[in-house]
Amino acid sequence: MNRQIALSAVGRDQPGIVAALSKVFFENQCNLEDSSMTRLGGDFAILLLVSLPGGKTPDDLKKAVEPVAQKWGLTFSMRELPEEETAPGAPPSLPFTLVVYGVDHPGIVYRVAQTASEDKVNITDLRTHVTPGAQGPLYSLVMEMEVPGTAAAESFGRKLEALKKELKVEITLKPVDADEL
Amino acid sequence: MAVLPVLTYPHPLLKEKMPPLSPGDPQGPAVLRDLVGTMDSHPGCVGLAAPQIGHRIRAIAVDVSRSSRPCENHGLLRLLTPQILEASQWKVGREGCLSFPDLLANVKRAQKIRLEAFNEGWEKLELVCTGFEAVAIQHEIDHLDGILFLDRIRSSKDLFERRNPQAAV
Repeated sequence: MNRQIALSAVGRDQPGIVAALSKVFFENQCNLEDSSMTRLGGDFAILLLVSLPGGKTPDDLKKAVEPVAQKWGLTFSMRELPEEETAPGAPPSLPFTLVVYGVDHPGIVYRVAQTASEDKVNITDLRTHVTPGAQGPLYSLVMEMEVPGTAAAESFGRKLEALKKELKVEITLKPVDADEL
Repeated sequence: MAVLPVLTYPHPLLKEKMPPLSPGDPQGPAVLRDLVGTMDSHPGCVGLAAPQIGHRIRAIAVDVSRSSRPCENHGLLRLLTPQILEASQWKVGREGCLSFPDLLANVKRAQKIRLEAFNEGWEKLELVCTGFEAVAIQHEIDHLDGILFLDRIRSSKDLFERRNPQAAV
């Protein structure tokens, strides 16, 4: 199995960042695997996994990325994934989507995430948006999560009902229904 | 016919289920006139539901012929107590809503529906609608049950901020 590197980078958004960074990977025969890149406010944030070709070290890649990061004003960090993190074998779990929206106030993400952790519900993806609203900014949050089993799903669902009232927000928890085509 | 302000979230009426409406109730046709008048004042708006303009009744107006994208349609539909009888051909498409002027979401809807409703003269109708018209009708009927399009999101990648909120439909 090839060595895998997790890289995160953030810097002021401008056209050309993705091209510059992916050129480094291409020229160094690194394979770009899972990635998530998005604009946050005026910054562009990058999270990705690359696999190194045989013979290349993490340090080789770091040396290749450094001048590009400097030119494009990116702060970055890199970490090699230990083998146990790259091996498949996660315990079976149920995929769910959670949608929360309401008038913005401090603590929405914290209370929802805290409640999820009580039932060992794992958050695998999280997106939030703040948009203008008639009674103050509207906060919307969508999470993808892995729930360890039906008992945990029921327990988590009950706690979310209470959380709805506590946080004065709308909350919907749904199992992911994949389309079989 | 009145032009009424469109309520935006978090107005509590948007999360309420609208009560049944008795056939022949004169409030129905009156609200339909307000829905059409309010739609006319929002260029690009292809549908509105009674709770969006502050009326607690089961009435919607849909007219996808106002959309810039050509699609099969019945022109202006004024529907009282609409009810979907059959739904098929499910597909994900991107929607906006005047009650959330700054957000867009990918929502799974039937591309073909058969529905029954009463028209503005309290005559019973049965219609088959397809494509964008079917989607718009499902979005508006959801409003009558207090279901907003954000409640139907299926993935964290299905919610978007609208770049030009003036184009809300």
